[in-house]
Amino acid sequence: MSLLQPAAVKVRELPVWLRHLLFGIVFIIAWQLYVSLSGASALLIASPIATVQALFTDIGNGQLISATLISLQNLAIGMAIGIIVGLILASLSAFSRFGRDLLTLLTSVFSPLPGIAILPLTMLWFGLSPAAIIFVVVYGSIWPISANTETGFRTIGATTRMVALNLGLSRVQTVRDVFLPAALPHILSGLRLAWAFGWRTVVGAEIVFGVAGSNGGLGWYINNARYFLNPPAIFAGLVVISLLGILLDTFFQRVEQQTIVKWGMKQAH
Amino acid sequence: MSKHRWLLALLLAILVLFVSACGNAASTGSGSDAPSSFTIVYQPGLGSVTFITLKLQKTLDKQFPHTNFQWKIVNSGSAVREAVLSNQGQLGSLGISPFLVGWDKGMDWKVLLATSRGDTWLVAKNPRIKTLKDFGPNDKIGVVAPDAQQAIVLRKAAQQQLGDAHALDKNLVAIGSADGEQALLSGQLAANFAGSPFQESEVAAGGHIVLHSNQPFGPVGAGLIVLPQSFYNQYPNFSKTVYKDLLATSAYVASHHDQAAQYLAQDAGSGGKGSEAQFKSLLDSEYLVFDTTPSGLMAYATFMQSIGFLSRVPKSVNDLELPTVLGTGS
Repeated sequence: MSLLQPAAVKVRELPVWLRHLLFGIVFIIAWQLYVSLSGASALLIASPIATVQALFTDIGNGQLISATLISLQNLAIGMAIGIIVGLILASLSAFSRFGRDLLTLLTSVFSPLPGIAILPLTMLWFGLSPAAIIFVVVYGSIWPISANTETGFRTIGATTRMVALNLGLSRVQTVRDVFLPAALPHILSGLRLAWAFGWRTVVGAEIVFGVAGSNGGLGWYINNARYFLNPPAIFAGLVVISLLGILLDTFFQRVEQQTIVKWGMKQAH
Repeated sequence: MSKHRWLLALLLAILVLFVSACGNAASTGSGSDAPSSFTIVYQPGLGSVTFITLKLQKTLDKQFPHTNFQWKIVNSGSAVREAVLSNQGQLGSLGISPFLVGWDKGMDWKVLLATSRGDTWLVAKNPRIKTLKDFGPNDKIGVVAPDAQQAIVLRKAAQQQLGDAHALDKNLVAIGSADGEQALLSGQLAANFAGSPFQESEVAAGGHIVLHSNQPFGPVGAGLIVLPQSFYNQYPNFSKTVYKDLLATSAYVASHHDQAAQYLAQDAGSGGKGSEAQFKSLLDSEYLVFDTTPSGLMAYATFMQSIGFLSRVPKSVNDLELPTVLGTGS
């Protein structure tokens, strides 16, 4: 017992990133052992080594990079439009009863529908073009953003509102200079949700789309690898999707740290 | 104490993974003369007439009463390949190119015999599109899969007419035959490259032919029926009987168009709709040849390797074929 105790205390005191890294390494070793020792066909599951090889090959020939950029581009355009529309809806809702009713009705009807479910419709409306994917991302982003921004507006204290009224600010100035900063914690969590939905929707929509070549994002890359019986490339695509998810989430964490954590509006991790 | 538990849990998890992997090597039978179950995977369209006839005549069920025969329809050769790969199917019907892609990646399947070859049409609806040169960057072409036989024929034609085999790659959309027909007629696709009976109804609805599939490689390239080599070695008598039955059924269909059309009209595997008379006229076409000997294997393999779809070319057709058709089909 006394021999083990120092070791146990040490593991718990390691920094977070190191603990996560150790877990990751153990997982990768277990994965490699499973593939090497279990006799499963290499065409059904790829080993970590084959995945890394596929990563290098397809980064080298540019396929993976262009696919990543296309997915990110679809996501960025979709989210930008979604943010604007969401903020407008939330502002309308904050200032008028009609706006509030409209937002409540729209959110309750459309929010439960996943973006992928309306993809067949958008394919009919926009044809087999990036507009169909972007529309689906916009649709997926609007509801979390407007709902969270609206909540943020509603939780602004009465004191702040009264000060804004006292200063005689116009409606636009009130929203821009008082409400938006005050509602920032909720807006940021809305953005995080929107980005999470949007990322999953983009990859899923690209797979459903099945377009080869020009309009291919990461979803198309994975689907293409399936058609050409290339599981290492499928796994490589999954790794990239996951890595981007982690990166973007870290980005949002940084933004939060620089704004609302610094201002004391949110507890740090 | 908590460190012990953590390690134990991890070891247990790894152990569970290994044990489950061992269980995956189950075989389809106990080594007796016939397997306990046998699944045939094929695609919708006129080319499945041999399978539909075999199914509806119940030949195999009478010969092997203890074997459970199942018939699955999937949308493309790639899907057939996945079914055979994951042991969901044993006998597959698909084009030359998805078979070669599977062979190239190390699948141990080989050609048992061929089905038929015909003239598949690239059908467009917009009068602006008359040849391959008229396809702009936004004109989508529907194929069942990027590595389907039609897609390879298209690349060969692109090489011949446009100088670059990959010129139209960015226009391709992977879409099933029936959905592709709908998309063409509703204007979402500029062209669809499927097969019978879809192409005939597309032309009847106002489409026109841009490319004939029997031109780029010539009148070769019958659809293939494939079987894993390991299955053939395990059940040689069963496999040879299936081969003879398919040969006989193919000969029957070739000489009994009326009866075959009747079978087609009954079964969803024919492509859905169509009357007996329509199927009979399709079967009567001079371009449809029930050729059970494979053809064009080396031509396709060499071409596909030259455009980067295969990493190697077979030394000879013997590498690709089971003893039933060994040596034929280059």
